[in-house]
Amino acid sequence: MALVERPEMKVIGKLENPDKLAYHVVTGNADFASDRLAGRKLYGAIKCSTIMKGVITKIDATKALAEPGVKAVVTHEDVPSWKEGIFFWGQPVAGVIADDPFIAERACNLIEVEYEDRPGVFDPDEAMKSGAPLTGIRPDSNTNLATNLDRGDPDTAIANAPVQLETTQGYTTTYQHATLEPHQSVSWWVGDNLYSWIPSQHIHGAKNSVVNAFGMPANKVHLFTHFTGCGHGDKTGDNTAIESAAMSRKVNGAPVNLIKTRQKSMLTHSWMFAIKSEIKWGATADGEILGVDAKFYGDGGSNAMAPIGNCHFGLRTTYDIPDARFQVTTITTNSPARGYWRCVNDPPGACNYDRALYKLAAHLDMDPYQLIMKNIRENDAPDLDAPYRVWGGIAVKDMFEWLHEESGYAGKWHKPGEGNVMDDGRLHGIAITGHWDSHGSVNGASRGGIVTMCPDGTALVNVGGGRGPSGGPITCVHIVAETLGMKYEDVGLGDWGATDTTLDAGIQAGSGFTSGAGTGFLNAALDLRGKLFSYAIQKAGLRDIEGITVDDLDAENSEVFYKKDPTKRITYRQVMSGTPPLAGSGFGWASHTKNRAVGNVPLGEVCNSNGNACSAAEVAVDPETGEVEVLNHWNAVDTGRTIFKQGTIKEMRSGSELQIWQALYSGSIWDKASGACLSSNYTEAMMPTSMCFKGENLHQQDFESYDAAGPYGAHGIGEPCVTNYSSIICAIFNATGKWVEPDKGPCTPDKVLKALGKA
Amino acid sequence: MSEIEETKQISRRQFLKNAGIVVGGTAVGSSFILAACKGDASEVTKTVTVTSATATFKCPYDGQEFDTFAALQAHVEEKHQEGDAVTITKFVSPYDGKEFDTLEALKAHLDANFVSAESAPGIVSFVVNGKPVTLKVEDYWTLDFILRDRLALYGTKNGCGVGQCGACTVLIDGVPTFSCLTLGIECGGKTIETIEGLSNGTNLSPLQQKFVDKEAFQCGFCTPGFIMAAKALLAENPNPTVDEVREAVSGHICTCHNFKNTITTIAGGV
Amino acid sequence: MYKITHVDATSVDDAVAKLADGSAAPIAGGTDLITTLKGMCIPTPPAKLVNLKTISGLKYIKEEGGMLKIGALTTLTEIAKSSVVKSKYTVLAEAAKAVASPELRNAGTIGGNICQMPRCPYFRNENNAFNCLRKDSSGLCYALTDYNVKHSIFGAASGCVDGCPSDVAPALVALGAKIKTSKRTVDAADFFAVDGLDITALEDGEIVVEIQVPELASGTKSAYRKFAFRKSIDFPLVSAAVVIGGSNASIVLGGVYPIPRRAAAAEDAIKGKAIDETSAAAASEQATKGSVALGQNKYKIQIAKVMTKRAILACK
Repeated sequence: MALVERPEMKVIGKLENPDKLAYHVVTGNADFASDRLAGRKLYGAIKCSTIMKGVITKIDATKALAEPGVKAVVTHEDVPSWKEGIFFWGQPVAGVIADDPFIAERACNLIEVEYEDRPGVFDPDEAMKSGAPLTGIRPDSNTNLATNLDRGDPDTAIANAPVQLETTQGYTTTYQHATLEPHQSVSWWVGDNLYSWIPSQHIHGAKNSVVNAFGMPANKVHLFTHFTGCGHGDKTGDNTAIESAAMSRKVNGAPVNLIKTRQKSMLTHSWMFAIKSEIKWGATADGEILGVDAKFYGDGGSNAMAPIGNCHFGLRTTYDIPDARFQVTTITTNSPARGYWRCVNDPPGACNYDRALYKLAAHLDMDPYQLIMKNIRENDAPDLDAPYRVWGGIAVKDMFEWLHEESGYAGKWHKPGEGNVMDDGRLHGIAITGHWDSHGSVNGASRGGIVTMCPDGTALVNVGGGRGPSGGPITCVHIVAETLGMKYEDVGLGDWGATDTTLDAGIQAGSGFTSGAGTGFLNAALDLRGKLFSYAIQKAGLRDIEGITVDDLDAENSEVFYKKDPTKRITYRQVMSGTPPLAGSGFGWASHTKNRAVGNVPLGEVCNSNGNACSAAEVAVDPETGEVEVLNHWNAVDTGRTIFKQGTIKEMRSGSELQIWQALYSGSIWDKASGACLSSNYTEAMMPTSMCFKGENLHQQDFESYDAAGPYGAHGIGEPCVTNYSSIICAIFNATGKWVEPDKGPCTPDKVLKALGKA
Repeated sequence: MSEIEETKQISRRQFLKNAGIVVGGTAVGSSFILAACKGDASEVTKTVTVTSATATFKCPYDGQEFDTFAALQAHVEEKHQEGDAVTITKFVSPYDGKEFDTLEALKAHLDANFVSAESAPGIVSFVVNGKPVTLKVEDYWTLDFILRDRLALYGTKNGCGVGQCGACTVLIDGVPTFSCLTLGIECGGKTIETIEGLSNGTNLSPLQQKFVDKEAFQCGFCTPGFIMAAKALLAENPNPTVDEVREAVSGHICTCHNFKNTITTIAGGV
Repeated sequence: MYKITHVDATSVDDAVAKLADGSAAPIAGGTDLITTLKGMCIPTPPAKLVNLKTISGLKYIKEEGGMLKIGALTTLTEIAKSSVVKSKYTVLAEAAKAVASPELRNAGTIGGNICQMPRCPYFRNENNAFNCLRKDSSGLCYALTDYNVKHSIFGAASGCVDGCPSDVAPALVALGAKIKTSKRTVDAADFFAVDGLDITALEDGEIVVEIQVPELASGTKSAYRKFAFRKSIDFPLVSAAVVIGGSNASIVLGGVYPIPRRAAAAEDAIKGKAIDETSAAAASEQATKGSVALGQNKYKIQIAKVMTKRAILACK
């Protein structure tokens, strides 16, 4: 849905453009990291710690090395990313290289590791108590005040407000990302050159990690990625390249395919952070929010740098609250590291402040939607905090209004727990949530693109990134085809995912790829277009036009034409005939500052390429069993400009499914005494199946607010699609009148029954 | 004791392993080290495991020996392309070195002259995507490993290894089965279909084409498993409803969460 | 994966002989066994697997001699689809259909399903991280004092508080079935026992060969209702297998005790009565008589009543 009149695009946003890599996927020819070198590689496996805090004192690999088929054993002495100090149950401590993965796994159990136990702390609330043992992850404390921002005088504003309300929200759910492709890689050495195939959301970033880990020259590290089996933010690191490279080095450079089992992949990679909050409101009786004091606490596990600090963002930027305080405390615990899950902050952050908002609405006996709309910041109003950016994304208010209309909210809303019994005895609930999102502006790093022109007049994009769920390189193809005035079918993928021959396309996370690589390829295509036009005016069909210059040309449908008389046109094939090889390169970045003008888009004060989204959920709660069924879910996403339409629709739709995942299903279970994870498999982690929801109840709509900043006005869209699972949590409140205490997990029936007083 | 009587005491398995029989597959079991069978019983029963660079690396295709793994690898890449993965070379009798073109001929020779060959341990024959293969396998190898890491059929994926995700689904005698929970040694005589077998090499099957047309995938890792389950469903029920599809794929996980798209694509058949 | 060798059995006697010394394990569908071999969660793995699938004559569903007889190697898919089982022994068809997922039902056998190992997350934790009292009699139970959401609400059996993982088991007990092994024929109610790693009283070298379900009186109805957090793949957190006909009622719960648990008080409350909302609710209140929740599983008491009520109502 386009909110502003914009020039028609020829390629961008067209539903009929297929995914260029579809054929590979459906034939089984899509090469993921381990899909190579059958019969010509060794296999690696890792052994994980069985204590949560302490030090390795002895490793005896004699029995493992004596096992037939075992080639070598590695420890922290061989693997630069491993440590001698133990900080969580499940940390890698040793590895085996063997003839087949079955032997390798078995031999791991034959390695005898002795530890010296030290006191650790698993629970985040325990970790915050004074006198708690140090987790050792930060040098002198278990906590860090990551965000501490005061605006105006919140204490006075709240104290003087006619209505005051203190709310507390329990820890949101935590789970491992559990991407279907477990973490794995293949590495081999030729002399002092390292070659690795990995799954990756940022292949150049992974290369940097490897270079730093081994202290090697960058030109000796050659990393490759093609297809990645889902990432959700968990494949942004080196993705086992360091481990498999160390293993390969141990066996004289023979190729080693380290394949982590489902269990070990889950133990040694990223988990979602659990966040709780204490939010104090000051408001008028009719719902004007006068002040807020919001304190968030997030468990970062053993990640000292867990990026939780921005979890308050949506609360800060969505509502006009003149006096406010935002504090975020990051806690370290002796448990696996927390990291991005489709987002740095927003799903759990939003689930905190949205619960608080709904509590305020209930306290004021008000429809939450009315409370939201009464306080929402106007689309083009600047940020209330320095540097007073205009966040753009003019669509948040529009999306709320659309959701209100589309969901039939007005006719369905009722007070929490009242007048809501359905014919089958279940309790009906509905809720709308949403916010300005912090995505699409993932740092100001330069991302680059190279576009080459083939002799037959077709073009290739060389993308320094791989293909994950959203088909990132395909977005670049769209941008290049549009900019060069070529048919979509005439632009293909050239070299991609190889660090040697591509520029860094950036991270496929934080919705930064579209803005970063997208702008990079836009500029690369502009560069190439200039060169093509300069050759075009020398070709038969155009060169005889009196006084023709490059500025007189335009292109469409893979043809270059004279603007003043479009019947004068030649094909790109004709342009390339007799022309030397041409390529264009360019850089772009996702940033908060004003970006360059694009085509017909005027530069404006709107300067941001953030994605935004809002969602509405309608649920039925079974009061007998506590089961929650999602009757309807709407996902509205501001894409700025939708580039790869098929990919965008899939992202939005899967976003609804992923909100159901977060709200009702995926979680984790632990033995608190030892810090052991008991859910390192799909069944205990409750990954939802096809029977857990009905796709026909999921609805989505893309909004094109068309900010000037991103390429053709595009934002990234990955994270916003999933960030409003608070819509489901708040709908359960609307249905039952009770808040389900998440206790670091999803709203499973046992918790709903507990909230209803039946367990 | 005559040579024949002595050797009768030793298990068939040891002879086959140590004699370097090549029966297809790119590498034979865990046998980078294959000592040639000599007459001395004690030498034959040893299986030598290498952890140092002084041992030999023997090519499973032509028996040449190399001092380093790198040299063997270079040799294999130069002389034996990946397509050789399913080529059967020869069947060698461990007793007298005679060579035969088929396993049956070897068995008959062994039956006639040496010990009974009711079943050659560790060797299994089945059909994959219409092509017969005979492989030497370890008893503990699951079928997904054999398909991917011996037959170079990488389309079948391993998402969990324990039957909880469906990524490894293949058809065995038409029945959708988790290859990660299927022992290769139990697949004798079976007809196996993997994702690679669906197209005829030039054109996609109608089911694959529908997945392309409807963009029924995101990262693509779960896709082969879903397509194989869909193929079996459509063979039995050519026009399934959305509910019937949901049930048929209820053992399949998609972590990109593209369920709705995939399910509506399979519904209605092709 | 543990290092195992594999051998095909040619007959039941051959299998028994190969299993006699206790160092081997039988493999049928393998859907449970192979996960334990890969997860390496048991302290003393089998050295050898004896393949039962090569024994002919163990796959059938037939009515004979006043009984429904099912060969031990019959797959769960075959049982779920069988028209005679669906129409006359509905609880068994529904239980078989409720197991896991289609692919696992295609490979999984009824014999294997009732002999599967516990699913307690401590028991199953890979690489035997928790050597609990099921695996080592001098061990302890970790679930008692820590994570026990999925566990028993009727206390311990031989010290273990797991929930029975088999869907088929409570259905067979409710049907008054008998289990015929290579050695003897026992009532299903006596077949299930907590015995080390096993949920059955099978001895070393003894295998299940046939399930025998006595023909039900005409007019008997039966149903299986399963509750789990996910709607496929999951093991039963709570299930109710109900068989009601004439003046008889059989109500057996799954997932609430290490082995199937008969709800005798609920049976007494419903037998001979007309089934309606009131009588079903009253009977199901009795289903959890004697229950005692652990720290995290009180919800199961409520769920057990609801599943019982729904299963009873389905027998109307």
